[in-house]
Amino acid sequence: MKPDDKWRLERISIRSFRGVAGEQILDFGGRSSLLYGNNGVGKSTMALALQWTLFGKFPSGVLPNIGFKNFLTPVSGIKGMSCGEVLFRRGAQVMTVSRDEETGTFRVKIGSRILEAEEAENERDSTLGLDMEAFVRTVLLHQSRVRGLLLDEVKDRNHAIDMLLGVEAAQDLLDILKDKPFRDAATEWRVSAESEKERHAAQDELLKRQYDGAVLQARESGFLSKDLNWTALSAHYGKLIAIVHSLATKHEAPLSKLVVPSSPAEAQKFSAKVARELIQIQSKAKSQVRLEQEKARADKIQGFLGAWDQTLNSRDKASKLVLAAEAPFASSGKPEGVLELADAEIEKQDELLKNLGQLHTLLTDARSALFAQRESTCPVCTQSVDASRLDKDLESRIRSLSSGELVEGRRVLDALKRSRVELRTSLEQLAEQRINCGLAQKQLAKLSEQIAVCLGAHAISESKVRQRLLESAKGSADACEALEKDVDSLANDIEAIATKATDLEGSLLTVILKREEISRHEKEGQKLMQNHAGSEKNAASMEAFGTRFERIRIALLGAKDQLASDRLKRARPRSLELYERLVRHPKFSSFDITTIQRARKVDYSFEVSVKGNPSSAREAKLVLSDGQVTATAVGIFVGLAESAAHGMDLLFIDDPTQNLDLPCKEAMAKLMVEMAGRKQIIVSTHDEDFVSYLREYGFDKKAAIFHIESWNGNPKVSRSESPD
Amino acid sequence: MVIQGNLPRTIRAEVKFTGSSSISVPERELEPLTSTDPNITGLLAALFWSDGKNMDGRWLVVDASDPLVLRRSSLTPEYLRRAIISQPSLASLRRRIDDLWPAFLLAYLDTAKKGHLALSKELQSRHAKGQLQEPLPTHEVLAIDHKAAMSELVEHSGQSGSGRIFQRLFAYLLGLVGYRTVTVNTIGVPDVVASDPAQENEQVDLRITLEESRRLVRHCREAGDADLALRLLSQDRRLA
Amino acid sequence: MSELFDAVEKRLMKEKDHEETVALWRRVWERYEDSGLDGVQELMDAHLIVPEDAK
Repeated sequence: MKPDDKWRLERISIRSFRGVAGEQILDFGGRSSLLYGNNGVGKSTMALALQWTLFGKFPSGVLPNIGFKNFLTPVSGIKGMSCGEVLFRRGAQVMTVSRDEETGTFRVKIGSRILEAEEAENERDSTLGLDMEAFVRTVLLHQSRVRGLLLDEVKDRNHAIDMLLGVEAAQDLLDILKDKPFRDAATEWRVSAESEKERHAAQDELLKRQYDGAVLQARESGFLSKDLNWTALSAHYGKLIAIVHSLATKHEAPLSKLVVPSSPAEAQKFSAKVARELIQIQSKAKSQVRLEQEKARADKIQGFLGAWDQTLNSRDKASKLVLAAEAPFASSGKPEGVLELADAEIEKQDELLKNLGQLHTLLTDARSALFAQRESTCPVCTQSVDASRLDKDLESRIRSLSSGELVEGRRVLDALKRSRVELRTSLEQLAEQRINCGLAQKQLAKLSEQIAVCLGAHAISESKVRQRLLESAKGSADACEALEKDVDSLANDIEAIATKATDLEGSLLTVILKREEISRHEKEGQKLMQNHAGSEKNAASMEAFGTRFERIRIALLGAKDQLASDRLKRARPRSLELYERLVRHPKFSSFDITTIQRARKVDYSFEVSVKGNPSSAREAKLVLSDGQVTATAVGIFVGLAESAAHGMDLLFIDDPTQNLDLPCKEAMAKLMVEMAGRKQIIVSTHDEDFVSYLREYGFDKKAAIFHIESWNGNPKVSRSESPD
Repeated sequence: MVIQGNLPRTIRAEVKFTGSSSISVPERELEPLTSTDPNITGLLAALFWSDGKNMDGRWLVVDASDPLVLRRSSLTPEYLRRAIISQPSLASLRRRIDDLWPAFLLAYLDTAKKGHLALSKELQSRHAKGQLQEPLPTHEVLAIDHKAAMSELVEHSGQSGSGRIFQRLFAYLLGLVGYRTVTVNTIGVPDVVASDPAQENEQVDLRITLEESRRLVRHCREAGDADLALRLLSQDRRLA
Repeated sequence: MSELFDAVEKRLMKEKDHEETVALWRRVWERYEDSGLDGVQELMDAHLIVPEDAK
């Protein structure tokens, strides 16, 4: 490509920048240049000034651990605002890029156009065909980027390769873009929801255990999995109701009013309703009614039997008593006549006693009169009487009356009277017995009537009553037996239905109710989560951000790997060539840097090997000296620079010979001279040997030489060049 | 939930069942799922089941071409759920799978317990006749019912046996979701290919009685869906 | 302009449901270009919302 197709650096002018307190202008004139001088005179400052003027910042790793502003402040300590201007030329075109810290302006002037700020930045990037990352990768090789390759830690060396390849931004972003804080934030948002969920889950567990218990019981009752839902239970209720109806019909009981419950809550009252219906059927079943009637009849018959026997017994007893009472009078005819006779006897005896009494009185009176009158003739017959003998006779008669006849008479009368009393008592007893007997007979007759009614007969003779009763009792018993069989069958059916209803309620309905409870609990859980909707939204948002950052990380890893690999691949031929020229290792004549993609980063494998013998590969750090590594790095940089496509024809290489031995320096000098013939090379160095080699190989014939010396607040720069 | 879009035209799915806490899907199984054809969607359908927390026996369905899935050697349920959040384009498919799965499993549990061959035969036959939905229970399937069904099947069939069965069930679950063509590869990859889905705006003829039609209108009104109720009224002249 | 930015964006756009992720990546890059890693960290912190009692 012709020089006129690309931009070259004409001039840098800087003021109040690092080692330059005042103003310093370096006119390169688009030519290759050498900046040399001792350490600390400001050589690197030029590279930094170019960087800063163009992009306003430095690549990572360049700045020491001090602030950007402090870094810019002139080393002399004299306060001033940094200012820089860089002029590029491409054929007849001139582009001026300037930056002023004081005014904060960044300006690009190209032709007659003057652009500022973002427009200027865009113009700079599009005109030069690169951004800062490409600039430091393919134009400006700062020594700090090479130093890193010499460090002991693999992590630091990998970072240095990142910088060399211009992919450190990817790694920096990979290191900072973490999804974990967002995951953690999501977890934090969910903490209260989680603890609520845990409480809910604990309740879930309890309900589940209860449910499992209910299911087990349901299975033990013979229910299957397909039964464990409301639809199946409703069907069971329907069947049960049909059975109840069928039972009522079979036993001619009134039909039930049962209906299938419309919900589990309603079903809780169902078994009580069923029980009531069953009681109703049981009590009103025809067989039950008839049995009760028949039993009542049988009881009645038994009652009658007992009563009949008793009453008959009573009557018979009474009859016997009558007979016994009549017996003494059997020979006398009517018992009443006996009393009359007794009365007559008593009267007679009483009369007799009366007469005897009168006689006694008469005799006594006579004796008294006789005694008193001492009469010798009888007043009655007027005959003569023996008074003493008469007195003795009278006394004897009186005595005989008093102690004999009267006494006897009285005794007989008392006896008759006593006998009469007894007789009377007997007669009264007889009468009573007869009355009793009559009553007993009446009772018997009445009972007989009742029995006849009970047995449905017109009248039953006394002798047949018992027989008829026994026959009826047997008939009733037979009827009861038959009816009891029916009733037992009904009871069994009822028990089966009741058991079924209990089973449905106790096991299946319990399961369904528990399912309802669980369903409510699940819905409650969802509502609870809705209470945390705001937190969940935040949690989901954090999760989403975390995931997005993770995706970006994955893409960054892939992109870094791809970019690094591509750049290494493009730079490889030239880098290998330069490795051979600059390193000239007696054994390991080849090297390779390959990428290794890991979970969170891309590592590198930097190995040297014997050309054509991959199995001889060894880690470069273990084999190459620091100088050799430096030389390799310069070779890679040149390879990258030359394989990059942009609008600048400049390589600014800062201190390329650190750690190199003399032969290597010589080789480097040759390389620089060779490259200076094709593009604008600006080399800065303090290395006198290197400068000598450069001069020796004719660098000064192609390039301007800037000798920077005796820094005293400002570097002193002298310029020399051979005519071009 | 907003239904985003129709169902993918063609699904290629890798189906994984495990009793452990993560799954790993080798590259050779994921590779056939990816395709540059935008009509083909590669899915990873994972079913976790153990006594651990958060095991609900539900399918976790993710886009297999997602780098989040491709890069991981092992995938946990939590990781898959995060991936799901960032894959809203499959929300419609996932919602249908999630809605239908518990009832579907319960419906075919007994057949599944008879073995893989019996299950295959029945599912294939029903799918061909458009009758996959017939055995589905009409009652609410609670989470405990679903977990009990999962436990029952896994205990009965063992881990590896269950894997084949769940693979088959997932395939025909897609059939129930609306895929008219379902292929199961017992050997080889992918496990399942499903295509020709019924779309959201696809219309079908419905045969229902007048009483059913009236009920539908009533239910729509009670649910506040006046538009659908009006549509039914306008379509069924018997209701005029 | 950056190759890195373009490479990452291209990879992200190959994925389904990439819109929000790509938008985030653009914001990340913009911040990085403007304010470096500090700016990116600020962006992340700005998106990070934690509950009050967790702060």
